[in-house]
Amino acid sequence: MDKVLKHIFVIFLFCGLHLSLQSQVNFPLNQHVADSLEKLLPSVSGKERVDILNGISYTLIRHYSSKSDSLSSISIQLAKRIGYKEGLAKALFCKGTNDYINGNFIDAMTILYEALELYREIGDTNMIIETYYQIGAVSYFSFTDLKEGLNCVQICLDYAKASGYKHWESQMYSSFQYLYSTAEDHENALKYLKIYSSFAKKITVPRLEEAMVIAAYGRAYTQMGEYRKALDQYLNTWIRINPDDIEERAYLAQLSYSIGDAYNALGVSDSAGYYFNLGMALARKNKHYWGSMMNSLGLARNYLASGDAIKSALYCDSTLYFGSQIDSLRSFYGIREYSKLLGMSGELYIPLNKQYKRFLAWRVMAGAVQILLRIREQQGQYQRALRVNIQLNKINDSIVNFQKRTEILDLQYKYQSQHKDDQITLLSQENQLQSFKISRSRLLLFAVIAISILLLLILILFLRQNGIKSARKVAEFKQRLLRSQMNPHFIFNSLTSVQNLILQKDEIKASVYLSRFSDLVRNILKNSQVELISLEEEISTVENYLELQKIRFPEKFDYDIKVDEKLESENINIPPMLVQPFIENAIEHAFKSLDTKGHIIVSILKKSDSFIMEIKDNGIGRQKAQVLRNHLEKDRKPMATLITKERIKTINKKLKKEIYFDIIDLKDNFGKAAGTKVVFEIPPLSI
Amino acid sequence: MLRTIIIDDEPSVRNTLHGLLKRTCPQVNVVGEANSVATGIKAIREKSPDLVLLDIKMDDGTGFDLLNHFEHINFKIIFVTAYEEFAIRAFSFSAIDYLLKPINPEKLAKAVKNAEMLKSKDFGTQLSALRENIENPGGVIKKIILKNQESIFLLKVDDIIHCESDGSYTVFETTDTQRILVSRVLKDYDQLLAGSGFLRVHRSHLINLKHIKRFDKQDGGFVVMSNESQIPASTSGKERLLELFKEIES
Repeated sequence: MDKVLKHIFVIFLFCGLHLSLQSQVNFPLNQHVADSLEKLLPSVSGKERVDILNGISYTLIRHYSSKSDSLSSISIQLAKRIGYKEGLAKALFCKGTNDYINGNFIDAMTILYEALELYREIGDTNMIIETYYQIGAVSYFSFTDLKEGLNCVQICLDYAKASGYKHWESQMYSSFQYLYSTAEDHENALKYLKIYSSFAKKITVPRLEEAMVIAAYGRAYTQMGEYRKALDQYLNTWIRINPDDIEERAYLAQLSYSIGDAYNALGVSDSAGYYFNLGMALARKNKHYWGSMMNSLGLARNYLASGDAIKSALYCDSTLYFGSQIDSLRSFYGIREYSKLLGMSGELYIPLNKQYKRFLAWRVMAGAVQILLRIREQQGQYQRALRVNIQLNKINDSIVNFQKRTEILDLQYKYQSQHKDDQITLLSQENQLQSFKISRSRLLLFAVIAISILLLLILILFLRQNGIKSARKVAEFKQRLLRSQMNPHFIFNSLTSVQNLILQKDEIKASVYLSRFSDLVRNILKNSQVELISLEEEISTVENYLELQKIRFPEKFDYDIKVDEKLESENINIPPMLVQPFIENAIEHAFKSLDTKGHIIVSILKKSDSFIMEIKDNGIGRQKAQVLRNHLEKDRKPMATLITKERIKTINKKLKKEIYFDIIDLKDNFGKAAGTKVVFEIPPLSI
Repeated sequence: MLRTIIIDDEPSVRNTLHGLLKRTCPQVNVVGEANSVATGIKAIREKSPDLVLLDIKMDDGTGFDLLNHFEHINFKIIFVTAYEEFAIRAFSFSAIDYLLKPINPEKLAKAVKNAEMLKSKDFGTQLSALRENIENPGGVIKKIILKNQESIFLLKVDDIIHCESDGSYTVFETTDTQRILVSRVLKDYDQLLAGSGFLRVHRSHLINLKHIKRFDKQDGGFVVMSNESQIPASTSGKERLLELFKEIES
């Protein structure tokens, strides 16, 4: 209850302090100035027209906000069209202020900041301060952001000090005093009041400002509980106010309440009642609902304290009535033509928006309802108490809604400005990045070139090395392959066999084997040139090979070559000498220490698209053959498998086909090794 | 008559050797044939031959395996091989005769003649050199046989400091200050020893790199060996030598 009133009182003090300054322009309403300017309007154009429009708009802000607003809109357009910066700034200032009055707080902030930017560019310190001050006012009265309010006042103070604007400086001290008072930081409030007082001694203080300072001291003393001192200050203020002016009289009605309140605190209820009644009378004259409401509340509390519950309840009802009038009219006055006048001291400098007026009324009403509730409960009129309670809840709901709304607005605004800040930050970061990039681009370019060259060199070296390696590898592989196919033992021993036939004078046979041998050598030589030969050729090579081996070891083995008749062997491709190494393996190793004669079966079978080539022996098996190898052979290792695997891998990769290759150890019925089977499955191949 | 046994796993090879011996070496009497190591050992023990024509690679082992079964080899051997690079090198170092298949009848006759002439003791020396060289792991040749009219020398390859050409002869300088004159051209030894750390620094000089003390650049450059002998280097020899030094340096 007390807090609500304190708050309202503080607003009145705060605003009151600036009467001296603002009265020169805004207070009282310079209607004649506006009128005379308006008369000039049709005869002027360009910058002059913008100035006049701004002048009218500025003058009418408080009292004819809607007109001021539309004029400022026109002015903005004109100023933009003719590129008149100063004019645009002023018009924006008016527009922003009007937006605030009309409740468009976020627009107000945005436009005021626009104006501020322009004033900064122009370098109009006076207007920078005024715009900042207005921003601070919006921050506090629209968003109830005390911190931002203090911040703006500090900025204004800095500007004022720097530019030597004494009147602005004094105003900022008083503003600090007001804000700290609101925050119930009485020490700081009094400190700034004293700073103001000592500063004010050096400058001429107008009547109203002097009155406000004195009232402010009264306020400070009240807060500190020094009611006597406070009362002295209030009474001292009283005599400086002109009761004949409607707006000053409205202020007097509020001052009456403050005096009555102080008397109440001192326990002098008679005097309190007198001042409350006086306030009622002052307010009633111009249907000044705000004054009536405040003093009604004072009286209700006064009667409640003196035990007259009925009268207290009556004044509570009155308070609620005046409050509800303000709520519905959204004005402090019950007379329409006065609605644009300053209804409370708070409006002397900072014009209050309609919503805020309602909010202030609700808070006072809530105080009254609380008293009423207590009375009804004391009277035992619970049904009425219940109704009062419902009323209280309603009012509280409105207050909470308002607060929520301002919170949401605040959040919304902060979000928007944060977003804008972020964008600005982002832009500046981008700019920084850009300049950084530009400054670094040369270095970067060099670095990139250097690294590229380095990488290229490494790559070239790597590829060369790799190329050398792989070339060597290919060469080595080819040599090994050739070696595996052209086993020198086979060659020279075969030739010796032929030599033997000659010695035996078996010329025909010698010729046949020499021819077979030549065919084989031809095939081997051909292999290094072609990758695929026909199956037919391969079969004849295998036969040649087996025949030649057979003269070397006539008793060692027999062989069979079985070719599936379905195969068109002349049209099927196969890598040359693919199976030869395995046949050689069989002959050289498989039949060692074999009691019976060895047998090699080469079978070629069709299998759908592919064909299968098998080399089967009835030898001792791979495992035993490896054991039986003598030390000279062990050095040579069974290359056939390794080389063939490698060869198939290369072919598969190159032809993108899958040649299947496997070696199977054959077992007899008793699980003993019974030979080896080598299987190739070869899909259709072509280059 | 020269009692001879032929050991080879391929009948056609045995037949060839037999047939050629009949025609070119009338002094030879083939007393037996064998087709494996096992049967070969048996045949030698039974027949006590003067000469064995021995195949190196057989199904159940090598000719060298066969020799391991005899403590004293009181018969001459001519090795017969189709292709055994390493063994051939070992034969060369050991100055042992060998025949390559298919058989050249002239070479066969010459080899048989040599075998006939060779003293058993000398052949023993050659054979031991062969064994050492064959059995060396990694195939590094360690010993070499040098033969001249008077004697047969078994030298460690490492002990040879320098070989010098003397017409159709070659002079070997060794660490024990021997000077051995062999009736073979330097070119033969160059080929033989090139893979064993020897370098031809001059048309007439083959040096063992292990015995180089320093290279003197004076007078067109010469190599000073471990025995202080000064070996002149030809332009190309010098280049090869300096290249080698560079390799060692790096």
